[in-house]
Amino acid sequence: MAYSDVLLPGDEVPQEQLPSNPKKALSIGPGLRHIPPSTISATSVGALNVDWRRNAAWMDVNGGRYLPSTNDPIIVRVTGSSGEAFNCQITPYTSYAALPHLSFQDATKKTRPQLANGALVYARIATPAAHLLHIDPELTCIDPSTGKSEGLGPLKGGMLFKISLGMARRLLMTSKRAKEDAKIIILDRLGEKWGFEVAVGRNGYLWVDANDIQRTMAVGRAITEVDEQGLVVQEQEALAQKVLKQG
Amino acid sequence: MPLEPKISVNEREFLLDALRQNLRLSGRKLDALRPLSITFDPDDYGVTEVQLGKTRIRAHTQTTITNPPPSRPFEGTLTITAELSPLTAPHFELARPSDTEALLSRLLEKSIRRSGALPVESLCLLAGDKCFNLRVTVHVLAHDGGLPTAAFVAVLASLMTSRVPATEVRGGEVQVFTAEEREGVRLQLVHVPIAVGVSVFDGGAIGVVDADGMEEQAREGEVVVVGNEVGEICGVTKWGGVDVGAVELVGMVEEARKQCEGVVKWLKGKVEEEEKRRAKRDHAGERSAENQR
Repeated sequence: MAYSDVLLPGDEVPQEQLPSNPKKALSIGPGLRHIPPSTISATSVGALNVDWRRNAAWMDVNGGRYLPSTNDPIIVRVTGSSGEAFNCQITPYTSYAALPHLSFQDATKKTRPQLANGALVYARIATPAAHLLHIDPELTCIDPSTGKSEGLGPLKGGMLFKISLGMARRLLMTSKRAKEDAKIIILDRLGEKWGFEVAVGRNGYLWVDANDIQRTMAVGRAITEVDEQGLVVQEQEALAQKVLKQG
Repeated sequence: MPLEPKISVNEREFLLDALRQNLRLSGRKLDALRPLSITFDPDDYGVTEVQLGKTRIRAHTQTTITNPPPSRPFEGTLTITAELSPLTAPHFELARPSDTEALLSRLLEKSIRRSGALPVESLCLLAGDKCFNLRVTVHVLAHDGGLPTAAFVAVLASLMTSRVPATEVRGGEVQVFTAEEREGVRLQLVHVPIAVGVSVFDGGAIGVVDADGMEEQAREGEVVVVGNEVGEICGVTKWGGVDVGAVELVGMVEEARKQCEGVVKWLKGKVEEEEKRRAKRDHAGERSAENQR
């Protein structure tokens, strides 16, 4: 990927690259550190991202492991049920998250979904893990403001593809806010011709269902290719053309 | 203890549905191996690293001189150790060997050592007194299915490129020469056996060559076929799983046998290429004993 402003740990962020909204305080996100009085320096390698409207700056690093944080949409695998909640696995080799039986839309004790071991659920993180208190993350499939599922819930059929964490973030970012070279247009292009459903989990998973095995595979493979080879917008256009021609 | 991550129901069902339509997630054909590649340590003999898709295995051969076992005074020894450690994946533990590890080392032992691929008599130096002890260590660096194939290629490539020190026996005394004094001797393998696994799906109806990690989790059984370069079947192993009909089994074995033949030919070509490169680098032509004095 062609990033113009890649910083290394210890690099100072030039003042002119930081947003300077006089009304709001500057908020800095992961990968940046404030050294008083007015130095902002990078603590990890990555590309500098700024949001002028929200007066925010953060580093985008495509790497590391997924750390649950509140409100992240994620795709989890049910590994069992205990008492009042399903045990779900967010990422391999980490402790389970709890998904209460009643945190599905319109769920009562009688109508709650029956999820088998190995079922996939698209959920949101209600509370992330609190390691010092030994509390595992808690998930929910309800939007607290509306009480509706808003697209969350058990995922039936389809196929799961593994994508990088950076790709998951890029897919979830609205294309207006994304940088020109970080835009993902392949799903839009494929969606113009084919009908399919996707769910993007911030924990690095993509679920695709096109009701047709070949198409589901084609969509999943196209996204994986964009991810692995870091294709820019024009290359994504070409790939979309190729995929549509074959399918 | 970290548990092995399992695949979801959706993935399992999708894989099976796709296989019923002769499709694989990787885009491969049902009877195709993943791309194999091999690298040799440029400075050391018998150190190889094999990559089969995302599976990576490193093997190296060490030679020591020991006393032969009293029961077999005319034979040297060959030991193959394969260990899956947390280096491979967090759910493999050193203290507790997993089934994968036990089956892998058993297969290597059975098909390379006990099939007599390397005549151990050739490792004898002085009957009942001195012999070479070859020890091949297999390290699985990354596990994405197809361990038998990758491990066999790694072990055999290691044996084919390794050297035992040149020796001379004079009056009951064994003199061992260092690599500087006299060039080491290549091992003479009788044949090169390679394993190819056929994974069984859909109650024994579908056979898939060289399953990757996800397919291995979804499969219902596996038939491992060991074959060599002349198309002989050296061994067929099936560790449990669903029943496979005789006709299907013959088809799977035949398919795997063909694959084995191809892999051995490829491997031999790679080893020769490497030997030529080494000979050129070490100016072997100038030092040949056949040269005019």
